[in-house]
Amino acid sequence: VSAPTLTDGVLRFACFGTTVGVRATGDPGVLHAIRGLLEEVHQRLTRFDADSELCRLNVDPRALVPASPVLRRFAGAVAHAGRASGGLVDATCLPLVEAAGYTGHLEPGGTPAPGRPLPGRTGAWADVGVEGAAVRRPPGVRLDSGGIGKGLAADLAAELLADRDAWAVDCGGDLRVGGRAGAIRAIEVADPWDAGDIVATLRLTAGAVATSGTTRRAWAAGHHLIDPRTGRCADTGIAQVTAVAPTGLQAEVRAKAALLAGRAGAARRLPDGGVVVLADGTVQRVGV
Amino acid sequence: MSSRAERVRALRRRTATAAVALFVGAWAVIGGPALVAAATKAPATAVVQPAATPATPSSDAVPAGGDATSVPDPSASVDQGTTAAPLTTSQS
Repeated sequence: VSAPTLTDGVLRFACFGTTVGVRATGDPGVLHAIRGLLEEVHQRLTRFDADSELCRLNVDPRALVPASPVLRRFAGAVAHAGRASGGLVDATCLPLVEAAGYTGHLEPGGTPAPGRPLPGRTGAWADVGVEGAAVRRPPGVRLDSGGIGKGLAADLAAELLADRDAWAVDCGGDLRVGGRAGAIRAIEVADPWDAGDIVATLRLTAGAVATSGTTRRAWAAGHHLIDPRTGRCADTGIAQVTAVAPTGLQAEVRAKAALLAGRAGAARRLPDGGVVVLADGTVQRVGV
Repeated sequence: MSSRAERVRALRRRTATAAVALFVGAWAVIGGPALVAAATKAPATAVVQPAATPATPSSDAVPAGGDATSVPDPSASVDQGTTAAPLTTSQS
């Protein structure tokens, strides 16, 4: 893990299995505060550390489990994601993700270890919620932080930057931008097959952008994006969706829901616009 | 580059970028322009949307942590070090 770097006003550090970048006008001290916050979010929500709070929740036999504010916020996000997507974005289908082979940090082009079905059930997002200082979910239901965790993390960071003239948070491709000055920022959408190429450029003053796809965390037998309707790796004719939304969580949910909705339904899932890249390489701009 | 990527490149050369116009109208009605200041590679100053229409919360608005859209101000002057560099979104 490389050490954090502060270059040209951008603090970059390793987090969420990727590189996070934070920039803001004014006192750079807030950048380090955000780093501490996001590292805490990662430590609490990673599913690749048996000692994380999320992993401990996932094996806890109680229906109501006392939880930190971060984990409670995540549990609320899981319920929101299921509700807003009509069940398409289901953070309770972790057993299927693992069965597909995604059981550890996976670098682009890497090959996961063969998966095996694990106990649990899917479609349980409606039973997930927060009661007081505890998370509620049926015992046996396990939650997957995945993209929802990164979108939520970007939102948490944004809350610390509300008084800045200009700022941006990049959680490995999940972005939040804003600032009191209302400055316009260019956001490039990477090619799903070659991240060095750009297929579109958006310009935002404030809001969030997230991208979901089937080509990066992929291997010969499949990829990480499970369609909860079939229990299999999604195959909808879409390779990648980029969604614009007011918050990182909403952008993440919209991107995944649009991809799973397929060609006919993707645009309807992008009310604030986005970019859809079909499996044949065709690029469609939606409202932007 | 993989053979699949090469096929995609070839397809792209032959296929014009398709616009999804159907939703542009609906998107405009629900306040998208206030969120997305402008689109694609057009010059920023030419496509900034007027701020007269306040953004309307979308149906999937999140009560906690939700963020109202800001008012674009083309004349705003801020630290270029934090605004000029483009960001990249990719599969996360």
